Amino acid sequence: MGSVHSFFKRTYETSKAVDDISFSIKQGELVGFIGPNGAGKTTTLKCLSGLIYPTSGDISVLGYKPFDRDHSFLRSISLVMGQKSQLWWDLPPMESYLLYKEMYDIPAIQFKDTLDELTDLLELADILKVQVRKLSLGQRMKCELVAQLLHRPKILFLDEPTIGLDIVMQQKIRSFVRQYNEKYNATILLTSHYMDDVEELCKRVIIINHGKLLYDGLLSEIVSKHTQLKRISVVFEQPVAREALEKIGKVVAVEGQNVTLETTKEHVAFVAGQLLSHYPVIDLTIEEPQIEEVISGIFSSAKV
Amino acid sequence: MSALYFERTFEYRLRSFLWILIPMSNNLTLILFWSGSAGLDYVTTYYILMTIGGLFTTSHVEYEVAEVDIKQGELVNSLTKPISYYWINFLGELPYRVLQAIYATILIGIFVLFFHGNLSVVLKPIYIPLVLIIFMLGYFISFTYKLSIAYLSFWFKDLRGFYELMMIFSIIFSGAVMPLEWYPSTIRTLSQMSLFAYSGYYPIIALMKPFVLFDFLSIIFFQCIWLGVLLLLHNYLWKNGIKEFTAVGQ
Repeated sequence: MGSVHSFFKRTYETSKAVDDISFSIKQGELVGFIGPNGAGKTTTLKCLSGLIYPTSGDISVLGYKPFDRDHSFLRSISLVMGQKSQLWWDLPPMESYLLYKEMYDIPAIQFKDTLDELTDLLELADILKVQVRKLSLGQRMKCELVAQLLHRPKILFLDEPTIGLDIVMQQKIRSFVRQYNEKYNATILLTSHYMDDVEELCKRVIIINHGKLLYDGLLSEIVSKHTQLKRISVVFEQPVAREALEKIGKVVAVEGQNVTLETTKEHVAFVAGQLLSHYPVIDLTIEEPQIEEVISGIFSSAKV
Repeated sequence: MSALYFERTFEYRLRSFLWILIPMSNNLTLILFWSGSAGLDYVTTYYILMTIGGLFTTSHVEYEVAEVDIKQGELVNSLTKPISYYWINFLGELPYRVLQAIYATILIGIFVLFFHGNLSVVLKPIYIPLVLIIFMLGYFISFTYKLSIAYLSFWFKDLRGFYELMMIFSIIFSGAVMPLEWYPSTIRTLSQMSLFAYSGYYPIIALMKPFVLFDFLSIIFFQCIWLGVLLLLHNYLWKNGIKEFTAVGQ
């Protein structure tokens, strides 16, 4: 019946993908842009790169209004979307690179130098003449990065650049992004669901959820601000009764002689002292909680 | 840059060959039908030229733009590049026109073997450059029109039915069914003024009729008028439609 009803009358709802977000980024900054699925990260990147038209507000990137898509502006930016290929599927990456050389008016010498440099950094020389459809996901992602960096953009929007990649490949991409940022003083805005990407690359993070800005500041500050707890990981010489440890602090995990306790920042010195003086300890480390847990807590509580 | 578009097109050789067979088979059937009631020379020449001319002047850009680029969001790839979307599509389609022209040349050779006594082309060599301009403008009219109607997908969720409807208009008014001068007077007048006629019909007639310079220039003049109107429409639809583009899921 619903189908019949919708044949005659339909109702539409408008939802705001991004709402009242303001921030500015300095040249050369590498900023993490994080939020859960549907938070509005990609929509923001699309607005910043001129793909979609903001219904209200002002956006200025390098002094340009992105949606005007001035060719000088487009030559200064690049948008890399991890889930989307901008290479021609049926042709080798090299052919797409030549196409971009023409599109971006890249001088021949600069094109060769940049291509050589990027292919060396990403170890791509062997696959430049292989059809894109025959490449693995990791190889393709590296080729995508090269394609988007041939014109040496001043601003790089990276949307999930490591999605679906194995740990080794993720590490290579991160290392490459860092080098590009340092060498060209490029401004990079990175979104990723892998907190390792953000932790390794970004000092500053912008957190959004439901289209609204939750936090804009240093990653280190948000961790200390949002975690009143510390974790103490201990390795004992021999197993210790859990009940005894519970009297000192909250036991989070026990695996043989390895035990993890959780306590407040104020009590961490006391708990560590108790452990060291009363039990046979081989090793003891004090850690902050995992960044994923902190961010997850922020998303679920939606307060910063 | 256009060489790369050729390379991509050449990847699927059989597909482009099959496409050419569809209009060929339709119009060969029409030849068989009309040759029974009208002058064989005129009808045979008209339909063969209409078939082959249509390969040069008819653009098929609308599906890819509407369904793939706009609805599936592939447009994002083009929007971040410093090149006009109009010319990206033009370059993307050009190889298909050239490839089909090559096939058409081969096939027309085969037709000549069978119909050589019935083909009648009266074009004077001096007017060949003007006819080439008429064909080129005919293609631009078709391309700009198809691109413009594809932009309606910025506002509408599904337009396949609309495209089919417009195709029927196109077939009737471009002279693909029969020469426009055979229509009843009202339809004839309307169809002869339509953009479809300036894209499909006049380029063929320019080859077949003993036109003088004024006739050729007159066709080119009205083609330019149509192209100008279509470019204004194209720019209006693009400028406003792109604001509706959401690229959701991309």
